Amino acid sequence: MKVYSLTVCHKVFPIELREKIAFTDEEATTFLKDLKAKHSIEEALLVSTCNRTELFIGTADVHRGLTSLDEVLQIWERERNFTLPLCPPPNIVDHHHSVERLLRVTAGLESQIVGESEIQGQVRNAMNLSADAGVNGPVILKLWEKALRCGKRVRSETSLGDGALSVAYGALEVARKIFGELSKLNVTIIGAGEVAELVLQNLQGQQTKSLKILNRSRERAEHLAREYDAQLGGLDELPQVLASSDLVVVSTGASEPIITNEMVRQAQSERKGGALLLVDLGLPRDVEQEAGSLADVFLFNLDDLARLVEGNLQKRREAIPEAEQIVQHEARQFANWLESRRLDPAIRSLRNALESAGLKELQQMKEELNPEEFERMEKVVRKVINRLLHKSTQELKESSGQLEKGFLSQLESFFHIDPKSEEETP
Amino acid sequence: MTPDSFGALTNIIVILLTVFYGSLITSELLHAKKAVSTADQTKPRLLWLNLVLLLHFSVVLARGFEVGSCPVGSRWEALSLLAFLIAFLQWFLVVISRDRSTLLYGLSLAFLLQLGSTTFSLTFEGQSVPVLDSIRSLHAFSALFGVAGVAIAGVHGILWELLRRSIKKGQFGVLFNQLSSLESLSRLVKLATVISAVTLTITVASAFLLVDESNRDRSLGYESLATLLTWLIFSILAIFPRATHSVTVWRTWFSIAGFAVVIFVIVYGSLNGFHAA
Repeated sequence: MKVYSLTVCHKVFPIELREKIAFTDEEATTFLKDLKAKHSIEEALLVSTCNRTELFIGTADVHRGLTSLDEVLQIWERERNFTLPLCPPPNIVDHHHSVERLLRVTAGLESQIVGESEIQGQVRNAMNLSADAGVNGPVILKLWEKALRCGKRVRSETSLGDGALSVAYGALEVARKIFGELSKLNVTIIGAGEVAELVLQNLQGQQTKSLKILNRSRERAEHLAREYDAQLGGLDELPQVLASSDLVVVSTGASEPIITNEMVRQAQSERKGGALLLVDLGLPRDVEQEAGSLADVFLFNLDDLARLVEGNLQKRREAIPEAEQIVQHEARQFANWLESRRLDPAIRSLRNALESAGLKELQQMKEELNPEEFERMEKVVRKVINRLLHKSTQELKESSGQLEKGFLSQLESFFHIDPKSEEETP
Repeated sequence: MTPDSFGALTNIIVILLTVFYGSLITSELLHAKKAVSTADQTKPRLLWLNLVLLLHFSVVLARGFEVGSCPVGSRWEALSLLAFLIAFLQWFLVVISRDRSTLLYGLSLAFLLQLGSTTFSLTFEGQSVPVLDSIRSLHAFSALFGVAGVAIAGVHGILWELLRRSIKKGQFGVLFNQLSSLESLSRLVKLATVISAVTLTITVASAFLLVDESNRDRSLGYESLATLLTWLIFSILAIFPRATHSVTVWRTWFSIAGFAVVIFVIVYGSLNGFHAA
């Protein structure tokens, strides 16, 4: 059994083309069902996100597999009304690279933002679609399991997924460095534009003590406050809110700073010495720069946070070789497992041969034993055979990658095993 | 066991402990390099540290039984006990707070003291050490515990201040990535302050008992005066609640000052001997 794949990803193909090939869950299930019915592909996994559409198939017939992938491409072109460029060519990937490909994709090594973790959820979901379409065979299932394990290892053993990569998330990282937990913070968002919404998105799912949105116009702010379960206020409340907030994120698009040094000084004297984190994501800036020099005030602007993000990006880049080693290790393990599957019919046959010999001997004693004793003896025979074979078959499977050519056929002829008849056995 | 063979055994144990503390620092350095994420910091695996602390405790206990009092009669013993107490306090803080990010620094201090102890142990020629009665033992032990608390508070205070400055200046370097948070560090400073205030109170109380029962005219050494001053300041700091950022700033600076006093006490004691000896 081999794995092949068809890859259309952000590194080679532009967004206009990728969006035509992207599948919804429903479309993906229908497509996978068709693949099984019309192309006799028994095992498949379709990973379709905004950055990639990648089809992995498992097949014993190399020619049929490659032809099918070629046909799939033509169908996509016809049905989705686009033409793939000849240069670079659409990527039909061989077995070895396909295995590595899925592991790399799941680990976040092929993502637009290296190390992002969303892809793991998307790969996880892809197997549900395969199961719905009935193409979740053992090889593709094992590869999928390896891919998720690889993704998990890369996240826990390397710093590929560490650190914030957006200024909005960076602001929360700084808040955590100052206050420890966000759950004890009074958070205020000033402004209701795109940046404010991005910050609210990052805050979603994080517990805060209170969340307030202040904006000049109430209409858009009302919509955001409803969506993110926040309190609502006008800019006239700014001085009071400053005195009671721990984290203030401001992005208004005003031409002059709306938070002055004096305003912050006043707020600090009212709050009696608590730390205040001001995150100014506005351009032009919304907070007077001098406010940052006050003793208990931490002020960050876009440039500061961009530096934090760049540092994190660099750390992720440095973690790539380590992540690649994990990918190689998991790929080798999958190759060993796949190789060991070739031994299954021979091992099964050997087990059957020994079992039937043992039971045949036992049959001759049937008249001397009562039914309970016979049943018990039957169990003992099976147990002894299992015990005899367990360790050696385990070792044989583990070293299957290093077995000499012809070993399998020698084993089969030695024990008079017909591999074809065994393969048919479920 | 002859005195010679006993001395050799002592030296071997003291050197071994130094090596173990060194290996703990190496492993912490590797840990800090590999796992900067807080997820790792919340799951401290401290098996090796536990074993080293247990070994060190056994050594201190055995020596205590041998001399029949708190083992502070010579410089190597006092420094080794102080190293143990600092490492123990640091371990305690990690277990309580589940914040492992400062373990490296506390252990480094313990390592330096253990190294100092080794140096004195190698030059120790089996001179007779004074046997302390129970009040003197309590006095010496609580004083060293208090000094350990001040040192740990000082180390965390320095780290707090460094992290605060790095955040304030927008420098996202090693400290920003490795240390947990200002909030967590400030909590640890406060905890170490309370521990040192309590233990130093016991030291001062037992000192009054000692003055009553013995020579009233005996003047206090510099290290005693410094310790008394530290006790006063730390007792006040321990009472103040950790309510505001400004209080933390003050507490941190006093902790750092306390740490400077501790360095003075250790250096002074190492050169001239501790007054309990």
